[in-house]
Amino acid sequence: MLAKYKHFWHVAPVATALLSISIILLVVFTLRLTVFFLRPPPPRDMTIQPWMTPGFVAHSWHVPPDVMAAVLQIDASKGGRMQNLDHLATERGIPVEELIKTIESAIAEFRSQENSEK
Amino acid sequence: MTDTLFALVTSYGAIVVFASAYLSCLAIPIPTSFMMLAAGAFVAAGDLIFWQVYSAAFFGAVAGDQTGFHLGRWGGSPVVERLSRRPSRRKLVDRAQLTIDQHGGIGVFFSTWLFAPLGPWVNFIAGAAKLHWGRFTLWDILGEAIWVSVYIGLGYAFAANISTVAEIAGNVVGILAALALAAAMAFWLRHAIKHHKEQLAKGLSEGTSENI
Repeated sequence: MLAKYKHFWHVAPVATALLSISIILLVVFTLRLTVFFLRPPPPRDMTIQPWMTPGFVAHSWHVPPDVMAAVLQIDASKGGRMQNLDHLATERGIPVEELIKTIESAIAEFRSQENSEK
Repeated sequence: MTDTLFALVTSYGAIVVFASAYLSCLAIPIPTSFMMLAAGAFVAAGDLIFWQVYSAAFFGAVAGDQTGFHLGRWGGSPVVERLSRRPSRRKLVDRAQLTIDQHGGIGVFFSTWLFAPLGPWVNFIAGAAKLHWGRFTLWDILGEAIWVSVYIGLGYAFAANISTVAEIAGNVVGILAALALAAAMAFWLRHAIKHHKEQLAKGLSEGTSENI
């Protein structure tokens, strides 16, 4: 097998090099995909991240944009440049984690209100 | 790392999508597919406007492909010309040229979306091999329309789970591109070995006739 590989190298070095690289990449990507399905990372998608915008959080957590606007004290109707939570926190001079905690408790409060109304 | 990219999209909007689509079509390693996923998610959230994001990604990608094609034609064609000066190579280059003329369009089409990581290289090669510009552009536009629609659509549909979608899509695309490259190289290797054997046989028969 090694002799055959050496022969390939001798006849067509570029094709052999690229073939070897592509096989390595194939193995790497397949392994990564398998690992992802066998051991999925903790569901961090369902935690609020600094890159998310108020609109994105409202959309993904199924809360009305007004709830977000109220808790963040922003004017949702004003529009303009979108800002993510990281920007908003910096603007207010508070750590982004604190802002996220405030949003999380507001969402929880909204949910409990919604449930009690039902 | 994906989080940083998503943050870039929220900071600069459609402009960053255009720039990354353009640059990634020139083989500069920017994960534009992630950016398009994020942009689609922000469209769903009402933060970005669909037609702006779609046209930014589409025109960025097509402009990048065109730049790559013309770079290949301008820089690569003379190299091909020089290669084909030797008669033994002339035959090989002519055959490659024929294959590209016949099937190059389809190759460009699939390299823009299904085997996206190979796209930039296919553009350079198509330019260097003098694939007909009109045909290149037509297949390129069709392919990029699919690429942009798929990623922005996935981002729109799976807004809350784009990190997961990005992870899966990244690996699947990697597998497909590696498979395509492996198949192409295996094909090349087979031809090279056949050619080598023919040369060897020819050399041997010439050698024996000389001995006689």
